Amino acid sequence: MNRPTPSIYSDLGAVYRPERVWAEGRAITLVIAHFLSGAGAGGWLIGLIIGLRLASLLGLAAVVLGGAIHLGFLGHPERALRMMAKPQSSWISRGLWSMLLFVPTAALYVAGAYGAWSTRSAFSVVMLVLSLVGMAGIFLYKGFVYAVARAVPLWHSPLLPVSYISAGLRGGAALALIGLAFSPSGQDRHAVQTWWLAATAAMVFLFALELAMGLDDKTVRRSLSALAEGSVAWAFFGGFVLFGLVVPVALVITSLDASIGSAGLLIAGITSLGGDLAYKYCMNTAATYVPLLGPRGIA
Amino acid sequence: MRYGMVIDLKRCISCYACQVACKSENATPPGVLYAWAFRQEQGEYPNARQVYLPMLCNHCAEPSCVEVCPTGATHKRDTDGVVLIDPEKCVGCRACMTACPYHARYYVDKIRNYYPGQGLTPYETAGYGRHNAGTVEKCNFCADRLQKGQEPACAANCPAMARTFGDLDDPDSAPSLLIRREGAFQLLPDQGNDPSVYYLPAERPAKESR
Ligand code: SF4
Ligand code: SF4
Repeated sequence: MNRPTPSIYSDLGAVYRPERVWAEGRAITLVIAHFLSGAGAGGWLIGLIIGLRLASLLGLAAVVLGGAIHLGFLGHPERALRMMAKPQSSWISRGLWSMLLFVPTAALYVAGAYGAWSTRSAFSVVMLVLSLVGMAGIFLYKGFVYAVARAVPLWHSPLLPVSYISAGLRGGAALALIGLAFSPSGQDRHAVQTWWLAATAAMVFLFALELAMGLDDKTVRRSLSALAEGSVAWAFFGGFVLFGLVVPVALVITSLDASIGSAGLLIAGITSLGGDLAYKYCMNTAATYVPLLGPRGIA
Repeated sequence: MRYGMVIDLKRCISCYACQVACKSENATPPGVLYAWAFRQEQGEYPNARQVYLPMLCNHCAEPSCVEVCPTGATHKRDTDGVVLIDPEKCVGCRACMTACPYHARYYVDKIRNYYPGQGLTPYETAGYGRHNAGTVEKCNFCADRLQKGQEPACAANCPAMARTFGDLDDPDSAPSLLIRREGAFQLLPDQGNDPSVYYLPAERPAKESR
């Protein structure tokens, strides 16, 4: 195929121009990468808090995988390290620094946790602290990468970074549900379920609040109609609401007083992660730029 | 010095000469338009009208594309305020594209030619050397022409003389006078970019604008 996509030309006259560069085609790799790194940071934290090593390990693996997939999005992946050049102004730079701090320190801490050396040694403690600093950076950077886009009101919200942190925690709790399914029955299931329910409630609340705050803005309303009845409605209702909320909420709530077994936990974890991926996809695909003519028009 | 441009929408005749001149000057591949036109119908018959808004990189004084670029590829030249992209530094992350309110940037995933299956034309062969697959491109106010003391190709080739180019820091330059005297406006001023491209309204009292 030698011709450019027709959307390039049709967008030239669009009043509400859709954001495409982080939403369409190969940008799906960016969506997956951002989803994985957020969930991975969450898995790392929750695994540490509740003492579920497998969740931390899954979290670390998710961040590594997310980073590798991210490379596939770049036009010049071999130049990726150049993205470290501007941490003073660019959140992408800060994110890369955070990942490069997180991955080796978390890996060394995990090596200690699996018996290579004592997790109480000074070295392990330093690795743990550095991994937590890196993790915090990963949690933060994604939301800000989007929120700084002033021309895309769906993203340009002070709530977006917080909302993405809660999504990362929910993803981490979902990794913990999966880890739980493969762990001995003595593990504290209740703590994982509570984390997941709390993170889910926070994410849904923040998402709703963010949309409610943006309702005055015509461009946000445009994005909302794309979510509700436009081209991404299937991903929003089928992927996020049904697959990512209704199914795992039902399973996790059921499991609070009746065991749903490992299979149930596994399904809850996987559907939750699938829903988060759909949420991320929707947030990227429904994004729309402010109209060029603005309130003043050009007359 | 701050290079800038004033586009008079009353003079503009929607002929696309600027777009073609830009393509010709920069040998941009299909799907890449450093200069382009936003065209839209407004109102309803019998009061309908067509809005035609020639666009290019606004070489903003506060460019949102510069602050988000993680590599420093996008930068603002101190000497004249022109916003440039260093293709050797660009990784193709496209953050600058989401940050630009004026849709000035294009991601060139691969270099396409205008006649599929027929290879590059001699013109494309000569001009495509300046394009780099996997990077973002945009208008650079015809930096090569500026160096030779010429104005950008879009301004030089506008048959209606709708484009006035010059130094906005010089209060007596032609664009500065137009901005001051004719009530020029910037697009999306609330975005905070302080664009260096201004527009004169299409509908304004009938008096000679220059
Ligand atoms: S118009 Fe866009 S690309 Fe050009 S300087 Fe302004 S923000 Fe950057
Ligand atoms: S695509 Fe290139 S110029 Fe744009 S932000 Fe990324 S590195 Fe900078």
